[in-house]
Amino acid sequence: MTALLACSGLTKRFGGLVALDGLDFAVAQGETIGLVGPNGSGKTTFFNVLTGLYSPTSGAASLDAVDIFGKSPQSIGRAGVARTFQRCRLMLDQTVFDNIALGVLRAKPLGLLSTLFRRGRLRADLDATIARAHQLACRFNPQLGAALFRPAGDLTMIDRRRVEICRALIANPRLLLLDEPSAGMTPDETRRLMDDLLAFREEAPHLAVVLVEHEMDVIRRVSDRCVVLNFGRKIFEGLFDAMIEDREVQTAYLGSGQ
Amino acid sequence: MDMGILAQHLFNGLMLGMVYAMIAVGFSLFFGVLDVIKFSHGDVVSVGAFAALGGASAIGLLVDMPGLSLLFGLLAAIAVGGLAGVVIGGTLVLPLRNAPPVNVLLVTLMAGTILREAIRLGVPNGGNPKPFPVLLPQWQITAGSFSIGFDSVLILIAGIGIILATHLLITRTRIGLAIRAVAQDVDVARLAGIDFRRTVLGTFALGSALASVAGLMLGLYYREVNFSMGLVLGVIGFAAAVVGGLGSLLGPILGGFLFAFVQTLVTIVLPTASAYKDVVAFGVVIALIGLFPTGLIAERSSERV
Amino acid sequence: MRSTNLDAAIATGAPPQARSLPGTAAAILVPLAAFGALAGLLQVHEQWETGLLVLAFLAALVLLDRSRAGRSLAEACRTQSGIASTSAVLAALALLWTFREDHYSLLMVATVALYAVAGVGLNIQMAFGGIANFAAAAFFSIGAYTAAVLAGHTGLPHLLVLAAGGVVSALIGVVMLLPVLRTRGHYVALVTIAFGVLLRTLLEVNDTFGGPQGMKIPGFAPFGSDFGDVATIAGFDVSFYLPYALAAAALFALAFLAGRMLERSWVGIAMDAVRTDEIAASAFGLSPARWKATAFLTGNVLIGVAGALYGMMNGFVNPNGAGFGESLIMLSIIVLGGLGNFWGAIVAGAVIIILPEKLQSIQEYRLLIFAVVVIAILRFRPGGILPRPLRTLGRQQGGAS
Ligand SMILES: Nc1ncnc2c1ncn2[C@@H]1O[C@H](COP(=O)(O)OP(=O)(O)O)[C@@H](O)[C@H]1O
Ligand SMILES: [Mg+2]
Repeated sequence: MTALLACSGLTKRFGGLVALDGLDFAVAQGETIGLVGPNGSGKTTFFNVLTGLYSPTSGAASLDAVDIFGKSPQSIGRAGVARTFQRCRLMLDQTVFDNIALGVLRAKPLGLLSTLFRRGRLRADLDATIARAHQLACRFNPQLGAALFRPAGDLTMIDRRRVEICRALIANPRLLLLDEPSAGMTPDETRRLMDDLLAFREEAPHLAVVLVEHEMDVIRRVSDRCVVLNFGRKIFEGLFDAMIEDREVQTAYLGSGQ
Repeated sequence: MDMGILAQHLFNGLMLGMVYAMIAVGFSLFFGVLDVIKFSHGDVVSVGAFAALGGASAIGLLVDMPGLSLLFGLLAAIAVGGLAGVVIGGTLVLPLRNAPPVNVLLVTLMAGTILREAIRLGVPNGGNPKPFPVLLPQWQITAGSFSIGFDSVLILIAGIGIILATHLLITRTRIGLAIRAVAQDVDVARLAGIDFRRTVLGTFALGSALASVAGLMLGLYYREVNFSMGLVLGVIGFAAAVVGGLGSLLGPILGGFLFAFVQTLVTIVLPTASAYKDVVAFGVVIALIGLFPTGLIAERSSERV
Repeated sequence: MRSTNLDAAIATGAPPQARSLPGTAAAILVPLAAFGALAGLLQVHEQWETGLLVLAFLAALVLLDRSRAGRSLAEACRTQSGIASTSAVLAALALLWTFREDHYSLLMVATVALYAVAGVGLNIQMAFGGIANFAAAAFFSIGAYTAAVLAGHTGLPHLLVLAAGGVVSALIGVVMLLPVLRTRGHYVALVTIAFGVLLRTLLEVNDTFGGPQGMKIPGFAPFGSDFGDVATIAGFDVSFYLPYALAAAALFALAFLAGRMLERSWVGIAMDAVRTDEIAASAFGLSPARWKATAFLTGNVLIGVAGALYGMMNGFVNPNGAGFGESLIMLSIIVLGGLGNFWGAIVAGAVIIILPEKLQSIQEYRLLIFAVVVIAILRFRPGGILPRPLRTLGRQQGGAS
């Protein structure tokens, strides 16, 4: 099986701090990987480097043989990587649609003149995108679909997460990075969100997902394979059952969990 | 150029730099604790100058003791200026802490307008420049073609002393610790038992008192005050604080002296074009911000994702 | 009725539309009432009349906001913005025609309209791009100085002179682009403040552009006929300010339309995204620098064009107009009107420009009152008089289906 995402020796330093230390990481098409590790182990940094928000210090990364190492967020997004954020980053004063549309904006005609003088094309494009956003939102929650033109700030926490996921999905990415989507939600909300995710997986079998999550039950339920980080280094890679048996993983968690 | 005149310009530049620094420190302190710009700060300088004028004149009517007048003028400046800072901070800035920054900027600019207009309308004949009484000994110190008033030297020394004292206050005392703690992280400071509101208002009092005393010094130095003197000083103080680095303490001091240095340099190098000194100084400000977007002494680390 | 509406809404993703007859009537009447109030303000002479009008205005504001009927009126104007805009245009024309012989009132209206054009530009910069421009008056004056040089010393057609005012204002804005793009929030505010002070001082101490006296500007003469010579239109005696007021209103209509089109498009969403969250926006492939630059320069074009026409109307320009105080007035207008709401600039412009003229006897206290009013509005109504509505798009737009 050839990897969709292949990283090798990925390293990110903040001054003296090595947040990501020679990470080798591979995801195959259609695979869901659970990425775990104590707080500060470098999971978010890994996503930030992958999506081009932070420039990596050294290493290599490619998506389906396209080099994405150190590239701009634009070109990485175009290559097919999309993400959500640990701390929900929505424009709360803007409508739900505005937020979802941000996911496809880079593919839209953004010239001033074409915006002013090609209104017909713009209107058709808007209508098509609204329909698509509506369809996506309804797949997660019909009420969310109906609230497409409400301010995102009016939504519940779980719906805000859903909007973030819709925003990541609307550009049809090949790799989806989810950074602690359950943060700030009740266990019940988390379960419902994971139901959504699994249902969506069924419909998009080629989508690869990397999920950062602290709740082990969630990881067990959704992931095909697990990777454990500690101090920026990969200390485990394999199946869930093997992971919870692993001594190094246990000490990493106990060591920081105290 | 004649050495005496050169020295005169340099001395004048030092004096201006000190005044700018005293004003800029306030901007930086407020920004540190609340992440806001309080633009009425410049007008607090005028308030201080007029309060000092009032206090000193009142004593002057009773007894002819310049020293006592000066003391009362100083106390009046500190009290009135500090109060203005606390009132504006408590009623306008704190409640708007979570509003968009430009709202705070506008509201405090308008508060400054109110202070300015209050002086213009409230002080008899307030629209015109007012002579400031002579309160310091008038000895002249002469060295060759360089001649300087003893009073000017005193003012400069006092100003530098005040800046040093502020620095010690912030770095060495419990109050300073509270201010620094709030500036670092409001939530952690609260957990450590620091009264947020009191610390913020205390910071406003401190910064505003500094600006007020700067107003008094300008009155003593130029022997004249006027109701709108604070507007330009506010802009310059803000510029100095930003160029130096908002949120730090040394930054605004550095920025203040830098601004005065550029102004003085233009006056010395291009005596015929000294009208351009503000043009050049603000040009330098724009260029420096372009080069050092977070100030010469950088503020905090970048935002985490 | 309601449930079918809701079903339809869920099917299309659009909220239910209230397109009832009373709603249409409201969309027609509200703008009429607003312009009626403006006519009243222009007409009154006595202090107490002005006071009464102000009270009525405040009462209307509270009612629109706090009462159910008021809210549905406001909602009707939003959902049927096409009808409301048409009504506003007709009301504006009627107002101008009513005052056709009144120099002073027309000058006021034209001034408000031109400040509102600049307000659209400033809104694009601040409300969309998130760039606090404290030098609007400086760029406005650059437009006027451009007009003074080009109209006074070259034979360039005057429509092109207007355009040049915008272009020069944008070009000079380019010089400031680097510091503006590299900094944020308060730092940008300082860059613009410093630029404003710099420009004003430069114009004052340098004699190339007339020094403190400034420059004379010829009247606006598009297609060869000078507005200053207009004395009759269709047989009616009119003030020469009438064509200026009409041109200013037309300019506002154009700026409004362009601003609206940009807002209700991908461009509008992109600017909002970059302003609210630069990091999320760049994670999704938007370049913050590109959108900030676009907002800043587009805004400057509008401000410069407005300044050019304003200069030609007044016949002169001097450095005072470029000052910090003037920039503050422009900024206050858009913040008071409601950041991001183009109509707000007209309403607030009327309050800030015309009202003080009507309160001559308390002229001394003008600035004081102005400051208190601004503080009160920002403190108790942070979104401004007319807060920016949510973006409406696609099928929902202006009732188009
Ligand atoms: N922008 C940054 N600047 C400096 N250090 C950072 C930055 N972002 C993350 N770090 C550091 O990198 C390490 C990894 O952080 P992070 O990736 O957020 O961990 P996780 O997501 O696994 O909890 C931490 O020590 C954190 O302090
Ligand atoms: Mg994390």
